[in-house]
Amino acid sequence: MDILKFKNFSWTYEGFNTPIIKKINLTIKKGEFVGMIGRVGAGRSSLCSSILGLIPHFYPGKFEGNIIVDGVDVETSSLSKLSTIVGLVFQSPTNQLSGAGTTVEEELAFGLENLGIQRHEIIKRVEEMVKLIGLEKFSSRNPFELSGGQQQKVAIASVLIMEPKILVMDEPTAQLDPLGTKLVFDLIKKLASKGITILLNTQNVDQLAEFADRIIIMDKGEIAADGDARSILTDITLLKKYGIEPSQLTTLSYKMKEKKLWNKPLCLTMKDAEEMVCEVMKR
Amino acid sequence: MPRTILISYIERDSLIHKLNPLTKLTALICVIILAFILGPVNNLILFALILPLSYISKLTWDVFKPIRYLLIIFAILFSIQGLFYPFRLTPLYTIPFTNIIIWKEGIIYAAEISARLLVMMVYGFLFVLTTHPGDLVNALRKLKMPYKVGYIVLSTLHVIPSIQMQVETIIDAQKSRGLDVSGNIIKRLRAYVPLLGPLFIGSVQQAVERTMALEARAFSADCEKTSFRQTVFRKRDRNIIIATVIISVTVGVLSWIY
Amino acid sequence: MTPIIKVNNLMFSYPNGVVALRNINLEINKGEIVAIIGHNGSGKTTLVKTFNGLLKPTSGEVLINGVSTKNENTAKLSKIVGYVFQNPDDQIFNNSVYNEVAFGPGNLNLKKEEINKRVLNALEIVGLEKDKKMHTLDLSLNKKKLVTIASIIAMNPEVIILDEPSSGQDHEGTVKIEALIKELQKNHTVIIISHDMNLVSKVASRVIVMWDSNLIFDGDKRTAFMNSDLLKKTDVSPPIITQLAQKIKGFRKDILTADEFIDEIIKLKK
Repeated sequence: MDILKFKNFSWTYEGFNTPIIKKINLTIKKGEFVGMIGRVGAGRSSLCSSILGLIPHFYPGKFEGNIIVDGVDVETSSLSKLSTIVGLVFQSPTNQLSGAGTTVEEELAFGLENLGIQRHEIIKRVEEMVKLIGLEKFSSRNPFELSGGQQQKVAIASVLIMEPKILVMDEPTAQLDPLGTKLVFDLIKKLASKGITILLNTQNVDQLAEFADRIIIMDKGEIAADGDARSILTDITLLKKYGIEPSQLTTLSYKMKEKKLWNKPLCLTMKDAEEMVCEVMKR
Repeated sequence: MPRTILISYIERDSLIHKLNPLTKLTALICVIILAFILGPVNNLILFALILPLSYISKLTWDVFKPIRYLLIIFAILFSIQGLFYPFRLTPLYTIPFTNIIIWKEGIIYAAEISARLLVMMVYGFLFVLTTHPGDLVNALRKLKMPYKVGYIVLSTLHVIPSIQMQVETIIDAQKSRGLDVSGNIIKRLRAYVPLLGPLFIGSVQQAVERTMALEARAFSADCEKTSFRQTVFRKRDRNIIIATVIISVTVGVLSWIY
Repeated sequence: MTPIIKVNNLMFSYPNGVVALRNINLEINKGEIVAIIGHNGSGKTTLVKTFNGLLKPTSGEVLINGVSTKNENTAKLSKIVGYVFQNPDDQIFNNSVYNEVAFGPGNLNLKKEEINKRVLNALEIVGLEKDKKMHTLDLSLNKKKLVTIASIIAMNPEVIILDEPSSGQDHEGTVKIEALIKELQKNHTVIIISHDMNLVSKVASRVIVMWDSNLIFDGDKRTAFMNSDLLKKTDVSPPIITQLAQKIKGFRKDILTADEFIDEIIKLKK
């Protein structure tokens, strides 16, 4: 089933002559985990914002084509309606906190309060969500006093609690330290294993290699490549062309191929690389 | 990073904490009106009554902390009113070797204002410390205050420290480029100009990001909002409101008659 | 030779009593590239803020070229220690790239021609000479970062501190920054604060690890990446290729690049 569909979608911010997104056609199916990579300024963040409808309902500009999420037309629908279908997580952990809640629990409840969900239902979902993200110890702490990584987990949970059909994350670890990054990727991995449809915009190729099903490369507002994760992330020429650094493991296998030490497909994950080295050493 | 939050709610399990915010708000308004009606001596009695209340709320000394900020205001009040009160008649004291006179009427006037300020400050503080901001907003929403106004009140409390931190970073960044922020006031003001641009852009950006994050959570949904926190209006809230109003009116009328 | 930065028994606590640095001792010499790593809140940023006098030691001392920072203000110390902040938007406030870079040297009481010379030179070093008339709001994230670095280069300090130079950068931006750091080493001592272990392994030789307000490691980067207790404690993962080498029996544990890895394979196969 198609959850998200872009049809000839173009977007030009007001005051600009050239579109930042150009004639995009893209379909994401239920349960897929899609990773999005590309240069700074390729239009990745704008694409994320358009799925929730921030483009065109929050930013002014020229909207062409169609975006359909879960059967709803983004251009003609309202932001509050779209927020029940699309969960969007942003870069800055602190700026995403609503400021309306003095505890993590209240912060999580914020979206449900806005939707007018009954209190007993809110309590139930908050409890489940606290458990899912593993923040039991912090549930009555002030979210502003948590570390960046934990704040980002709260941010993810606070949209997930609204039970969206697709979770879109726009560089969720870009402002985090390694520990925070690890916390967030552990959570993302858990969500992926639950079959939640995810679109993840990130620069972290090593992490995408571990759990993305499919990769999209964006370049100059267009989709430059779209395919299964393994074939895209091991295509060194393609990655280089679009300014993406392949995983060091892929580079290693590529260089070994050049030196005639290896003649099988390039490595992507740690498991691949270990197997490759074992085989080479045995020979 | 240290954060300075000026005033904030302190969680305690006390009778006063459990009261409905509206009950406390009514009581606070009564006290403020009384503070204006009563003279300095009676106001001091009213001030003394905070002691049992702060004890019941399990916040004994926290309530008095802001008084130190008031001391400066008192000093200014007493010196200015003592010397320049417009309706001065009775000299109280002449500073030796000068002809500077301190006037009795000025001192009494300053005492009146100070006692009022003192009462309003401690009771106001008791209110803030014992009332969860979310509960207050919820209670006010029941009185038809717009949801967005409530949100602004609430979030400001949290957003101020993060803007404060950003200001510090921006000042540090420019100092690191040789910006000298010492010297006389004009020099200092001029030095702060470079900070305005980044500060403005930074706070606008923060606001934009936060607004988008709010939209991602149905902030503008056009339906009846619910609340995770519950504020109950008990029988004792009703009784306390009635009692407070009756007592206040009686005290007010009595002090007006005599 | 006097070290350019010398820290003796440095303690720092904030006015509210929170201790941010405990008993720090270190020396940084001319021409080094030092990376400071650790969690957010471990004291990295606090430490470098004592180097240019933004923060003054609560006890102990920080000596810059042998002179204590105690009675020096940041404006004066900025001639010796330049500090590029993490977020360019906290720093950039002028309309044009040229004016932005000229702001720092403008604070140093220099002649107009000297300022001009320094600005053009700094822009050339970071490769933005063509963009000098550009409006700063129109710059890409990659270029904004370069502008903030140029604005410090133009002050010609002996030490340049870069706080998270690769944050917000894509791969091409990071590659440029790596090359720039190596270029800066010719005339400056460079200190970087970074979470990016690929960057650290490529440019730095010496690593300082902060943990919970303490300096817990100061030494060669390869030794740091081999010290599994240290890495575990600070949640730092070495570059993924180093992790691979460490998983394989008989391999050197301090491999940092694919080429080193292949050399090791060839050596072991013989």
